[in-house]
Amino acid sequence: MNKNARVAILIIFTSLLVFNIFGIQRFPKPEFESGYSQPETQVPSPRGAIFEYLDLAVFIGCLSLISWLVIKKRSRKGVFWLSIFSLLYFGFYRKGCICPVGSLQNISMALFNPEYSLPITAIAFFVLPLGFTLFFGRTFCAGVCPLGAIQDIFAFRPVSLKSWVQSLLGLIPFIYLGLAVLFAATGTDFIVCRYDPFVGFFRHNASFMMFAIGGILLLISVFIARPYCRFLCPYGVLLNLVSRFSKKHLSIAPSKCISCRLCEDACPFGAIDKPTGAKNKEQSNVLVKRLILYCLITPLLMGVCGWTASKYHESFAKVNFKVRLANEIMLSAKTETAQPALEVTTFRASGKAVEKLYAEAARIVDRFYIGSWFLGGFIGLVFGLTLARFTLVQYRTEYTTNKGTCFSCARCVDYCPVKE
Amino acid sequence: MKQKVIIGFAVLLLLSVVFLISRDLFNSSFKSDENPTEYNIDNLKKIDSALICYKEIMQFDPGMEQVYGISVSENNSIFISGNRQVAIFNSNGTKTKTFTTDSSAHCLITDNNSIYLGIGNHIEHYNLAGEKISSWKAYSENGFITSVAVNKEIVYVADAESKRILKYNTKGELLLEIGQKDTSKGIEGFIIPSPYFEVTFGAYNDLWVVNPGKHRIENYSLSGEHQSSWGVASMQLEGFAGCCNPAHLAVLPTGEFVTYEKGLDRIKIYDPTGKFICVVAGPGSFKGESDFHCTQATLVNDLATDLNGNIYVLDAYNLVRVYAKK
Repeated sequence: MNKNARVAILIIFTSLLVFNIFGIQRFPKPEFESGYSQPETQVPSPRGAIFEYLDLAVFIGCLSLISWLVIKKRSRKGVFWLSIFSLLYFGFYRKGCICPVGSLQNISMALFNPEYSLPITAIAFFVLPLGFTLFFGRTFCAGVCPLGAIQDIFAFRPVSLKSWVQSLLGLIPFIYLGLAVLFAATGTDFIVCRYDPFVGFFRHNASFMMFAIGGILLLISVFIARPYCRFLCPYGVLLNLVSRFSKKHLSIAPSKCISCRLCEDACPFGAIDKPTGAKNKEQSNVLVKRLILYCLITPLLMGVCGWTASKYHESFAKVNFKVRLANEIMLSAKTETAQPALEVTTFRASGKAVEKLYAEAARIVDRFYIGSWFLGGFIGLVFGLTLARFTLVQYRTEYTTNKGTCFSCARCVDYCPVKE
Repeated sequence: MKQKVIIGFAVLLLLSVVFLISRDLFNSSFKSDENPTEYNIDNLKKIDSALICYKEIMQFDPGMEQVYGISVSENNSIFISGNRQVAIFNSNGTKTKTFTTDSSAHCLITDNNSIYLGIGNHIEHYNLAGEKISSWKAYSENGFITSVAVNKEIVYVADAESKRILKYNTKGELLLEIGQKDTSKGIEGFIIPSPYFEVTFGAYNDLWVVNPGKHRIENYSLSGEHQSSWGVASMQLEGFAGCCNPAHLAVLPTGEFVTYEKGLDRIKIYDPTGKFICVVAGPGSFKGESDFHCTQATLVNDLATDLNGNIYVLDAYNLVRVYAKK
């Protein structure tokens, strides 16, 4: 860079500082020294658009770098340090917002509520990890997700879980995903953000319960690695599905596996599939019959689960503030002696018509009725497919990563003696 | 065995997390306890009795429908402007004269020989017999005069609408404007979010103006140059609370300042350097807020002082309260 260019840059940056001179003190900051405590906020202060795009640029940079580190460099050390950076930047600096895990709710809300303006950054944060996963596996989980990174630090003594325990607990994220979509689509709540267990650590402002939940999950992380990612994360469900079709996924051995078994216990997430025995034709026939049976049962399961969930649609709807308020007003009208809740008092003071609230609540309950059918159907489908999955036996002759559950953390790579 | 226990314990903890989240999600209900986000200022309304250095020595009802402004002359005559009238009282609160005006004066000042009334957008000058001497040209059509200060041949007028202090001679000729925003000279102007904008003379004939948006009392030379200021924004007793305070200002013969803050309703004394000294009357000294239904959102309409150091408070319930040092 020549001297003139450097001088020009210096002048530009110096002139930017001059803008402070035009800052005029208007009203002073409020002073809360009277014992008043500020209510806890769930969302950090909004940023300027330019900083949102900066976050997006950092996000894309991290995704690209982690994919390169995992697929090309096969560097566990690189993955680890990038995950530390992501924890500091997206976690502690950006206070966990916006994150792809929560962005699925923005997408759901936008799909079912046309009036909701979906920020382009939310779309990007939702789509980009899925796109990278489609090409390179779950590299986002490996080193860009701050929620995964904070748990990874605590994985001191990971133990293996039985596959049936993993499968059973692995159903929870599907139910969580279904509920998250239902509540977002009905404009009720962003429950993934509300119950984000680690965001309280990033923002230092969670309720006691959320601090406790975060603490418990970190304690569990010591023995069961990444419990939130494996058994709760709803976005992980989508990544799991997409990753199964990934074009270039991390492999344990860079070339031919020599089945030395050194990597057998290397994965703390139980995501290494062992070689299977020889194909048994007789057993195959039984399995095919069972698969057909499960395929027939699945629609039945969907119907039963859908019907069951629809029976609880009012309970789901009560999570919605307007429905709860309408319910509370109806109850307080019947029991005049009871001290009405603050929300009821506030609504009455607003002068709004209670009939309008009831009508709106009824509309929301109707939406929950339809949504509950879909939720139940989705859960039934997951149950059915999980049962069907047990009938599918993949024949393997070498140790491979499970494309769905593997977080591409590259731990196993270090155990493999095959280096080229 | 040990590993099984660890796994069992960890799985149990995980399920307890799921249970806690589910319970919180589906069992959350409204509570009828206190509002957790309520901005409670009750503590700020409590004032240590040791800090109260004035006592009420007299109060009288001027017998007017509505009162706006008060001024006390050197011979302790009390001038009160009300609904299209001005009443004059002696120091005992006995009415000695009343005269009517075309409109209501929201502020007034006496120079012992005459009275200047701030009526809407202009000043009207009356003699003590109640005869109009002159009516001055309005500076701004939409102007709103909130305070007048007089010193011999010079009259300063605070116009809340134009956010200017206007300097006139006694004939009503505009001599100077103070407060015009000029960024090239670093003059920020006055910040007047509500119609409370005070101007007064200090004990040494120095000019003091309240800049309520900045919670400051600013000193200007008679030629309009800003010289100094004091005052801090604070909910504490030493400062001025709210969006824009103090609402009213008067000066004692000793040079001490008397301020009234709307909202918290505190009348306080500051020394000539702006250091807080004590309280004249705190919240609760006036009629309670709950039964306050006046059109103005303050409990005190105006302040004045006399040469003996007494403080005159014109409250929103049409009472004149006189305070003397304890």
